[in-house]
Amino acid sequence: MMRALILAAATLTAFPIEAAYAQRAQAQTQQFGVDVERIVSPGGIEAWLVSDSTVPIVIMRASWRGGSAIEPANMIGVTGVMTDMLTEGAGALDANAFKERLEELNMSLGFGAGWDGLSMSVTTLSENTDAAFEMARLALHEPRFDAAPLERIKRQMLVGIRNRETNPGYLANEALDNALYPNHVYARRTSRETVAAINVEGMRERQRALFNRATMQITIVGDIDAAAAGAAVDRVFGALPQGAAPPEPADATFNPPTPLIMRNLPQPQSLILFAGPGIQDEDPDWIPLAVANYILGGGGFSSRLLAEVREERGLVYGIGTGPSVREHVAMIRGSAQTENANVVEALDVTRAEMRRIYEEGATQTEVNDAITYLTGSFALDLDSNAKISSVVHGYQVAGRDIEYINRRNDLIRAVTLADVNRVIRRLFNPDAYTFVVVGQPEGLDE
Amino acid sequence: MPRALTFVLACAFVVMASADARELPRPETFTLSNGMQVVVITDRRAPVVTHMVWYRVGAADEPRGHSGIAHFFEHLMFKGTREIPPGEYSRTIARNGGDDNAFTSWDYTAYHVRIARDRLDLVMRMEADRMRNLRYTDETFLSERDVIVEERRSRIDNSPGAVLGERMRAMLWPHHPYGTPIIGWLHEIQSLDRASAQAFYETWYAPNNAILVIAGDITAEELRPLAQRYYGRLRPTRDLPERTWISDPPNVGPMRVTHRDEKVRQPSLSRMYRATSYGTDEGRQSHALDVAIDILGGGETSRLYRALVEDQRIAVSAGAGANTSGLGGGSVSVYATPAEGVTLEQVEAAVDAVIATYLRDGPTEAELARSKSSLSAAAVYSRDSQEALANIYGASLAQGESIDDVVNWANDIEAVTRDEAIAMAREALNLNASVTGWLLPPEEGQ
Repeated sequence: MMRALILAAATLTAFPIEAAYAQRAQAQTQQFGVDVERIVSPGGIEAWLVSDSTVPIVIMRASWRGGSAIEPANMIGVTGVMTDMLTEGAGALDANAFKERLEELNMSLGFGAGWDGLSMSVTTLSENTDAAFEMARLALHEPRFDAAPLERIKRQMLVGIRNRETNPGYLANEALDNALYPNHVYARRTSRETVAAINVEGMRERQRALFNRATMQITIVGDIDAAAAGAAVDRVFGALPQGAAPPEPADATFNPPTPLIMRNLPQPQSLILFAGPGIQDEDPDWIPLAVANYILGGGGFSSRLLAEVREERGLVYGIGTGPSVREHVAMIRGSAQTENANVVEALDVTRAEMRRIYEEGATQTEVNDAITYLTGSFALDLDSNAKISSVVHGYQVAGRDIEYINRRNDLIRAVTLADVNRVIRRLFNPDAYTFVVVGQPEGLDE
Repeated sequence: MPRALTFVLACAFVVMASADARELPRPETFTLSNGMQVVVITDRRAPVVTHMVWYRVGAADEPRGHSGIAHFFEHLMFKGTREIPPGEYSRTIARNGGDDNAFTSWDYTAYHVRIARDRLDLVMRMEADRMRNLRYTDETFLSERDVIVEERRSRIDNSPGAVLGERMRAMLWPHHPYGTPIIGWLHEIQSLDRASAQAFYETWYAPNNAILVIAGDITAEELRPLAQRYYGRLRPTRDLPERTWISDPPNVGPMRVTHRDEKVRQPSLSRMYRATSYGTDEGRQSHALDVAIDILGGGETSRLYRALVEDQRIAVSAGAGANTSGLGGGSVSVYATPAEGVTLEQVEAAVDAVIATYLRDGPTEAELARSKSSLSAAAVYSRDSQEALANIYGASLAQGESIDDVVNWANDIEAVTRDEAIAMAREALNLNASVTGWLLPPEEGQ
């Protein structure tokens, strides 16, 4: 405590300029906003648009609810293979011709499947928008699902299944899932059998079940106006049926925490992964959690964990924490890597720092610093069309309103020390956390 | 080799300028009286700036026996000056809503901050201060050395593929400093001392060995007084050493290395060839090599991927890449991972056959056009990111290129002829100047 005060004073003496900026410069990034416009296409499809012609690029993102968590248990992995296969040939173009066409257009087009939803991303030069959106339409509506690329993807998955056997991150996450919610679908993994079972009928069934207008959300950013954006939306998505929202799995219920789980892996450095119950992003404590997490382990060189475990003791290169949210489970997760001989000490220090903040709370200075960083740095996430598309679409998918991006800093500035300490008591109790160590740690018993 | 958790793509000659509408903005430049070069790339979209100082010194400039000192010094730069207490540099940046980090290559060391425009003079004041006035204690030095050992374990020692890569580089450049890992050999890191660190700092960290690159919400006219106030008064190093690196004897035959590790589940093949680079070539040689190798192994439309993964179905991945950005030479890498049940012998024979055909016949006109178009289009996409532009200009200048070279890069790529591409492929893909690496699990019974 003394040391912190002395440091702060020294900094202010050395850099009075910083004190002067404490109020003034904050205002600059505070005033910075992003104009997000709600458009409705002639065909009646809603999208969010950020129109900016500074750079001749257009980015389109779309998302749908329903992902691999609701795929058939005998065909685990089919949703991800289906989304991969959308860019492996469509219409008259086989896989090679399709990929050559994407290259000729200098565009990128990708689809992805997560546990809870599907996503699509198109990036194109504005001079090629018509041709680029036609490629997106083809992929979405007329995928070929040819046998050759399907077999190739399966071969690649089988090698992936072998390689993950010694991947420390995979092993740690698997151990964590099996400890916390072993019977929930989120603990499910592909296997050689489920990969072998994936077939064209399964993919077509998933494609029809998941791609519809019921839960579709679209963001367009860049060198395009509202009229052109509306036409593009109709072109790409207009033929999708209205459909209905897909079924949802149940929420995960947590097992009691396991203080220590170990997985042997022959390597000089161990991976430490830890997790405890978290909150969903609609929880009123979500914003205070951002501040609390910054103080504990999210703030890089400003966080308590990095200061104590790396800077003070040289035990790790990196350590950090953060909220992790899926539709049906919310956690706070952290990770660190340290030499096998230092695992015991790194675990002790990490637990001790969590206990200290849990028992003593944060300080007003820490809260102020966290708020200054989180609000001041937000503009850094909005300085390119690519970043804006990612942030805006993220808010759209999370169910935020269209003005949220311009209110977000006010919400953070309103966080009080009491809010932060309430969240800390709620979520940072080290006894509620499960710790997993993957490696060959010395002096540690499960 | 960044100092902290986020990895920054430093040099990316593949994202660069293109013809006519694709041209990159030409930055404004000026030079301070002490020799510090200044480059300004204006982007007014957000009230933020990317501030980078690039030093023309990297791992290749280390005294023999002191490997890792350049990267170690990158870490020490955050340890304080007479005015800034240890650790306060990053905390001050964070308290002002900014992000900071640094990275080291063989050719350069760069420090970057992203922050609100009106905090720029705070950043420049601190950055200028630590260019000449660094101070740290023995305790800090030793603790940070431990952090770097952990960083080495994370990046190299935990990863069998990275260990193989390190062994291959050491063979490909048996004498030239590019054969020494940037992060350093473990035994040399552990014996680095303060005296050698200090000597390295005093020699190379000087305004006449630095390039200031600022991208974002500022013009050269606005920047000039700040640059003069903070950097202009710094003392240059007199008799700055020339960066002359010892060279290798000619390669006289193919080299091979096998690396075995318990963690390897699926074997893989990699090969490196010595090649030209933008820092060493004449005319359009590196441009032609970039195009030639992109056609051979860039992405899923390349020769290698099509032949091994799609047509013959003996590999799950295959490709090649040219690393042409070096100040002191370049390399070409080729890699392939066999499908299950396929041996490395089979895969290597197939790779050699693809290369032999390619060297005999050269690319088709369609391949050439597609590759050149893709490479040059990346220039337009890079215009979306002030950070990317700052990285491109900073790395290129630190690696011996001029502003004109960067601005003209896309035109030069478009000008590459089929004959030039064939000639460069034939020159580079010479087995006598190559190392082939096999990554395998332990032998049976061991």
